[in-house]
Amino acid sequence: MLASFGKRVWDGRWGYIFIAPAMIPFVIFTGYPLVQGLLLSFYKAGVNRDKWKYIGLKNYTNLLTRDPVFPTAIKNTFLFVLGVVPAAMIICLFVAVLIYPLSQRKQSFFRAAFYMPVVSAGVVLAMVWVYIYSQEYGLLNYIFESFGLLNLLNEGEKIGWLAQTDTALLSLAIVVLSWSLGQPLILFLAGLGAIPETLYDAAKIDGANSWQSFWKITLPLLRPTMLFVLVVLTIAVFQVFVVVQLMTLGGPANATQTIVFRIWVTGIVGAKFGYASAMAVILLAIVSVLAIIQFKLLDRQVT
Amino acid sequence: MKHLRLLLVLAAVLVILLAPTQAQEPVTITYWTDPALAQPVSLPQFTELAAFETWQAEQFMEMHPHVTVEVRGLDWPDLSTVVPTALAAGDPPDILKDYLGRTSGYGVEGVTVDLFGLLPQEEIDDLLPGLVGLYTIDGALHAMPTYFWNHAMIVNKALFDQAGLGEMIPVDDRDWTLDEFYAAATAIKEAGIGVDFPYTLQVASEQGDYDFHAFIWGAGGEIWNPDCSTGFDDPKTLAGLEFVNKLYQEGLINSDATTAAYADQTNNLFTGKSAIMGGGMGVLNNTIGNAITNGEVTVDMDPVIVTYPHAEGEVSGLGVGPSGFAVFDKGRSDYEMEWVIEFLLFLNSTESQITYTQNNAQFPARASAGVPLADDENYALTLSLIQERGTENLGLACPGFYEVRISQPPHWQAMFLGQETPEQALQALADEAAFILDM
Amino acid sequence: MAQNTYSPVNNLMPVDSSLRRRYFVGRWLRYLALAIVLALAIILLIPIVWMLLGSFKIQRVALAYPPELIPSNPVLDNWERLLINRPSMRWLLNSFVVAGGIAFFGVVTSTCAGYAFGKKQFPGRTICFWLILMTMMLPRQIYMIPLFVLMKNFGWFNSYQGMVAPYLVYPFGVFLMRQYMQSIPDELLEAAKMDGASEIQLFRHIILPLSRPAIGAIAIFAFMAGWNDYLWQLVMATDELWLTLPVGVAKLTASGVGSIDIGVGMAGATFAFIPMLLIFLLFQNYFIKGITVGALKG
Repeated sequence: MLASFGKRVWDGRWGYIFIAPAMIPFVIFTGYPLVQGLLLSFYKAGVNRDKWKYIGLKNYTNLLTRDPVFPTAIKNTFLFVLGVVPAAMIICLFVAVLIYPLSQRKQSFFRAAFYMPVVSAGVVLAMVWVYIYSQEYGLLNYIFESFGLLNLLNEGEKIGWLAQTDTALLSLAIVVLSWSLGQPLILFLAGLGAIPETLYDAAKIDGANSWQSFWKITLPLLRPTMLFVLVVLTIAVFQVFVVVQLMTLGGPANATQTIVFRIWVTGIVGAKFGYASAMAVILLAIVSVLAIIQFKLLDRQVT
Repeated sequence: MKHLRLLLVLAAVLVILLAPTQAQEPVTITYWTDPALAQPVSLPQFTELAAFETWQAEQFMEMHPHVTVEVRGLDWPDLSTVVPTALAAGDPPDILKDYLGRTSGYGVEGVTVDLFGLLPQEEIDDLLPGLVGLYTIDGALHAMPTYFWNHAMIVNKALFDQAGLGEMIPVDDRDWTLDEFYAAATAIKEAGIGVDFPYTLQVASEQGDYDFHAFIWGAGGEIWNPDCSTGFDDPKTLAGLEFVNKLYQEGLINSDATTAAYADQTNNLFTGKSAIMGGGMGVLNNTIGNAITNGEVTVDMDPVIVTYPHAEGEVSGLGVGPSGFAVFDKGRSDYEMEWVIEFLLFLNSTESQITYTQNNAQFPARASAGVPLADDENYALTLSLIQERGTENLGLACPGFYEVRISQPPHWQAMFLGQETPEQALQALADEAAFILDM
Repeated sequence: MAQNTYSPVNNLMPVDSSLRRRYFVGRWLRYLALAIVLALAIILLIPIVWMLLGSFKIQRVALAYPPELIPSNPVLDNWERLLINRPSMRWLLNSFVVAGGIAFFGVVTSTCAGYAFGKKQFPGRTICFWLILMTMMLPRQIYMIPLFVLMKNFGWFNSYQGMVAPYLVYPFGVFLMRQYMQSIPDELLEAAKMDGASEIQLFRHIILPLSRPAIGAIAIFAFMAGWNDYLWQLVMATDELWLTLPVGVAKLTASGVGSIDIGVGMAGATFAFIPMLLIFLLFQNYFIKGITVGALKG
């Protein structure tokens, strides 16, 4: 038993050699701090390291029963994911199917246009969008006013896009959405290119109309791509931070608080390292469950 | 004055002469500073972050060649993020200049050294006694105060004059009631000269909270009681809050207050959309002064200082907040500590305080610095208002001050947006404060 | 299953357009839909144009309402303040070194580990792979404090290694490489082994050349990730000269006495955007290949 295990290890020695360049830094710079962070979540830990104190599960019970903001942050994070991810997938699918038949040059234009926000850093977009959303001098209100939309929506008054609880989260979601379209679009275009023409020809012979072949051929064959996009987007949107930090600071009235932003406010700004670590562990638990589900799906479909 | 300068020069010469004979062991001092002096009026060469402080450090290094000072300028957001992280990692600077609301937190945590034992007694005796009291936490002087700023109301009287309402501004005694203020704000809005939001503030972040708290103080309420309990359950606090809420709901405060940045606030004032905002000498001389120079002011500007309005029978004091130099505990040798203190005393000398407060339009913490801007009538006026009406308790040195401070804006926002009544907002804040102080 | 009947990896590049006339809906409906897509594309470009225009506006113009769509009196002040008064060229260099370092090490570690995970059998393979994969979804904030302490012990503040070290492993790259390696036929490796190739030779002469498209893709994505890693770079740089471009630029709007200078902010944002734009335009094909390589099984 032991001998056979030893033999398998020996046989796999080249595997270990090849993963070493990745695993060694991984253990030092990710694994070790991660475990430390986990331990920290059982401590009351502030800026004075001499005063760090083990308090068991108190951080967790406080977080789940007494913290006034954390539940809102969880809710908002899920709203972000549930809003941005399906919207991005539907838009990209729609656009991909439409521009796929276009000439190479036209397709390049659209691809580049949709990819532009991905290319610019989140910081850059957040800075521009704050300016655009501004109630007093923003471009968006000007455009709305020019088209008579302000009269229609807000009795002609300029709208405080980031100032109102009912528009703030949506406004941030649109910024996040704007940089979530580029990669899925390219993926869908490639997915479309991978569907053999013969399938459509065969369907035609069988008397299917083009609408039917979209539902019966295109969509099912894009499924692996869609799943991949789903996983990547969910991961990215779960970590939404820059827009909150640079655009709203979680306001107004906590309407745009997210988990990662809470971790930052509590852990870095508030210097409650233990308490913030407990938040991080809860986030880790949520993300892990989602990831396992998604990768199970993905593994079955793709690999 | 002249004598002091001469003495300093003599001292410098002496040091330079002596330096080669006793080759001293090199010392490195890290000094982190807030951005308070990034845009001084009369020192235009120092517009960049920490340029003034770097210049000071260079002078010190010239006098003491064996000392290396590393200066780092932090902007306001960095001060609350970089410093705690550096402390947690055990790598804080030797000296930090920041305002009391944040250094007190470090004092409470016990990561600063007690300056009582390290500073010469005559240096401590020269500091204003009230400030020394504020800076004493658990019997220790957690930082050395250097100057304080003030907070009052700045009214652009030119707009009121233009509307024929100049009489409504209390220019004689600088004192008005909530009702008088309300009448003036309503009148200027209705005058039709483009003053859409008579009073401008922001509750997007904690940075603008004195503009908000001042009404609560005026109504006799408190955010912090003198014993460091919170005043959210005080009926007068509620009264003040209801007054601010009324201002907002009636369009007397800028409608984007829930997200506005400080620049939006000043822009409202500069473009005449607003006629009144909170601020002290720094805003009056530097912010408004620079904006006029840069051509950002598009209306007539005649700023006058008044105190915040108050309820009948109450007195409106001024908000006053000090900044100081904290020395972090890093396990230095006596020799290193000696030079850190030497540099601290250089940074906080009478001479330095005068230069600094003159250019920043603030008030020095040393009695020997006198009245640096004695010729400025607003400066003198502010000082007399402080003497006459006293100061409000900002709670800067209370445990949990900073966290309670940042817990407030979401509830002010919710109240403005109609999601919480003033009672609900205060109840929620009381609960949150209890939670924070309990943790 | 249906998806096993085709091999997408061989089919990544666009097909001859005559084969692609697949519209699903009628002509006019299609034109309408295309108009919507065009509008969407323009909406996505507006912020970038607005940023560029804003960089030529003085504060008073930038805060004007109604806004001046084309600045009537464009000024270069903002650019001057950005490029002359600030060490913005140094920030640019820092960003290139950091992002470049992250890209380089990301490629090395991903290729090696991807090969091992995709082609080698050894105890602990699955658990190691899953561990790395899990970190792909972890926000760095979770373990930032302990990491910070670690960096302190190494004395790596204000250094390139401090900003690069946490990214020596690029989990997405490892995942992508594993997928890619699995598409390389085992027979190829077996044949080379028969010919007496050593493990190292096998890796150098067969694996590396074959994975070139994936390497290009990982390099670009790791570069982008490094370029955009705002928070960690903010924490690691305690000196203005060590700021990276996005961090330095984000600070432009927040300096001074709490004022926001929109013009300089927009100039900075534009300045931070241009390098990535050039990289995108130069390596567009790698972007497209890279994105698709990881998604689809070979």
